[in-house]
Amino acid sequence: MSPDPASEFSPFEEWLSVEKTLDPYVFQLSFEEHHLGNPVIRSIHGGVVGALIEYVAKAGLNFRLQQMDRQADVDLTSTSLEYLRVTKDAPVYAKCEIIRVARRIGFVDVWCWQDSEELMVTRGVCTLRISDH
Amino acid sequence: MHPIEMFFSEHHPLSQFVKADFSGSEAGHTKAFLVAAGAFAEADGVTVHTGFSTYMLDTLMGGAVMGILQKVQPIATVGLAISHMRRPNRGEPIHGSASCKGVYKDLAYVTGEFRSEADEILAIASGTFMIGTRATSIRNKTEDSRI
Repeated sequence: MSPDPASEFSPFEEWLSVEKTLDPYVFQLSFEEHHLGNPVIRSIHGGVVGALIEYVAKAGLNFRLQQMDRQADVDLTSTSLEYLRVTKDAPVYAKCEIIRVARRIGFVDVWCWQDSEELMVTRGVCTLRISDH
Repeated sequence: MHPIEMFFSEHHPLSQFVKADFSGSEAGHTKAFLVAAGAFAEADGVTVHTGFSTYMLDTLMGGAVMGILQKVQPIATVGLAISHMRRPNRGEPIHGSASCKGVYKDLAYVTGEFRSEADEILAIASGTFMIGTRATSIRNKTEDSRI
């Protein structure tokens, strides 16, 4: 698949089919057939949800740093994921909470749901390196 | 043929985007040679998102679990921890490996890693997988737990 040079999204964002919502800390993954892990039971691949969590952690921390007027690069260094419920072939929502922004490291929690925020499907704890310009 | 080669056949959605060679995979040990797929490229066009390693290591580690099963059973990732040392560059060749360390009370414990051509560690992971989930195509997908 060749990336569309006119697209405002990166190839990864297009593959993930992820979009912002009105809340800067909430994102929506629109289900695509290529997100399936097991095509027979039509559940989303755990790695896709993991990738969404890492994307949202980075995007959320970038937004917070912008608010703080910090010009910095952010790189994800570690992620711990817990898969709480089976997913289905439907949109996934992901919300992040910035736990702490330190001088060189940021800590972000992310949780995902489909039907209702009270029924989390996956949660993640992410650590990101912050490199000020 | 190792189960991961059957799972990751041309029919699997992922194979549209990632070409992987699983030669050398045996029982609870999987190996993969792949390149960092352009579909996962970041906006800079140079590197791929960490999600690529997360996605592929989850797949490779799940394959290691499939390799030790005596019969075909559904498995599900329960927990996954990944450290990313460096994001691969787009198109960079990667050597992946995973080992199922043991199964205790239906939970399989697995480790995995990605290395560059120069043997530099790119990512390391450990995970737990539930063997024999209740997931079926007719389940109540709202409340049912696969754990």
